[in-house]
Amino acid sequence: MYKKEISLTINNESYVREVAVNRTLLEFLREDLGLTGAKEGCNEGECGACTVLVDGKPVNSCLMLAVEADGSTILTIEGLADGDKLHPLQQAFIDEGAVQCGFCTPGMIMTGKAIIDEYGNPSEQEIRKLMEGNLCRCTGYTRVIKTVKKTADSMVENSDKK
Amino acid sequence: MIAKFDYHVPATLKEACEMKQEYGSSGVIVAGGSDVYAKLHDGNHRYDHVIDIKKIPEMKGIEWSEQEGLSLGAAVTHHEIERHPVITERYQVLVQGVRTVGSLQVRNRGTIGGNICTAAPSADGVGPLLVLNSECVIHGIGGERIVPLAEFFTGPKRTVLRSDEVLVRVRMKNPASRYGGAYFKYGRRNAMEIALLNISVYLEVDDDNKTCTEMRIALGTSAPTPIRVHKTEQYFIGKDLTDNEAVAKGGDLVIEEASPRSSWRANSNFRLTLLRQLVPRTVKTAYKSLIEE
Ligand SMILES: Cc1cc2nc3c(=O)[nH]c(=O)nc-3n(C[C@H](O)[C@H](O)[C@H](O)COP(=O)(O)OP(=O)(O)OC[C@H]3O[C@@H](n4cnc5c(N)ncnc54)[C@H](O)[C@@H]3O)c2cc1C
Ligand code: FES
Ligand code: FES
Repeated sequence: MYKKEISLTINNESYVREVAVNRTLLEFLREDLGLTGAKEGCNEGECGACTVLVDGKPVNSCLMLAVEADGSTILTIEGLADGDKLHPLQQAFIDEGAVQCGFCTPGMIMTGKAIIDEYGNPSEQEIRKLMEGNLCRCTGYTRVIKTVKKTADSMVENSDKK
Repeated sequence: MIAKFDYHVPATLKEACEMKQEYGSSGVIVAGGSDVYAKLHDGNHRYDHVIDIKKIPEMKGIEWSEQEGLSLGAAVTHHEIERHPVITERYQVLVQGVRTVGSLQVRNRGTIGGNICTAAPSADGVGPLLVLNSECVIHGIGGERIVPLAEFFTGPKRTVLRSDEVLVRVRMKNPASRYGGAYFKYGRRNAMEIALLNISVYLEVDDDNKTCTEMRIALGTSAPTPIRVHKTEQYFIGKDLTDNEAVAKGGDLVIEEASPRSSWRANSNFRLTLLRQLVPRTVKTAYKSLIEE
């Protein structure tokens, strides 16, 4: 088959679509659904600008077919905010100035969120290692890593208070 | 854009083997796709048929028991391995290896079976599996066969898999309750790097805590395929691992067994120089991990 019908949940909305089987998940999100938050940097798994969460796990959407996402739950940067309220990590990237041109930022934030979800409160060194698949050509990494660390700390603190 | 192809999702091993046979060189098996799709993006490669094996039950899951040891489905991802409680506790050398594959994103898709079947001399999952004496469960149209991982590779990007065969699982006995393991990846930078050279070590010692009773050393990018260096391993048996000179001599021996090629990454002499220094160092790291346990 050259085309296939897939059904999946993206940012809390259900979609049923027919897609060409050679379409990557990234092309599907950007070109078919107009979700242009995830970026195409390299198309070969090196830069992480295309990172989205598939069933909670960060993946390079340029190295995955849309049909492989059939039945899964996808979160992109567009679905991260809760209405008008930004996710703490999004807010922190703004407050800490961890953004310059912003091209890498959606990927950085999605990976950062996934790391906080999976590891709770990882050390700065662990964050550095876990974010090695996200390249940035302008801000550099120090602020990004510190911002993820700070957000993890405050999210843990807030959940302790509850 | 990836060139047009026909996409198949076999539900059983039998179907997968028949498809692989039927489509031959116009088809490709895909697990995580981190190698295959990256290659297809470059425009120089194309296949008419993609055979996605991820849905086949036998390819999935990590099984472990005290009696049988560890069995990894070929479609198990690097990240599943690095997060598995028993593997992180008892198979640390494997975790050390797979943790260095690409990035978290790549490890969430890339599989151990893909790492093996790509047959790259640099594969980070393979050396640790070699020193754990792993064997491959292979399925073909005629049935199943078992091949030791050490005999799986026949050349760069070449394996013993026949035109109808797929790798189903890779399995290994439990390591000794006390062993030292270490994985060393040499690259020019820390992140996102294909190994210029890698070394895996597994060792056991006598009750005196220093006489070597078992030594297994695997090298990556030091020969056309990942290799074990049996002569060097043999040399270590009975040696005092606290004796720096004796350990260093292992480095002189290992370069007799290695045959690295020159590539744009590094020339052969440089790789040999590295091996002479880094093999003894990795043996020491493995020994330290055992003593400091
Ligand atoms: C950005 C990036 C960085 C990388 N960094 C590293 C690294 O640091 N270290 C490293 O070792 N690798 C690295 N790789 C290579 C790759 O990610 C790994 O080798 C991975 O384990 C491949 O698994 P996969 O499931 O994605 O393979 P796939 O792409 O699905 O398949 C790879 C090959 O194996 C064959 N195959 C897969 N499964 C089977 C099976 N069960 N039976 C028969 N044939 C099969 C396929 O036909 C194909 O030829 C990197 C790749 C990328 C894109
Ligand atoms: S565009 Fe996917 S990793 Fe660069
Ligand atoms: S902010 Fe420009 S690439 Fe990272």
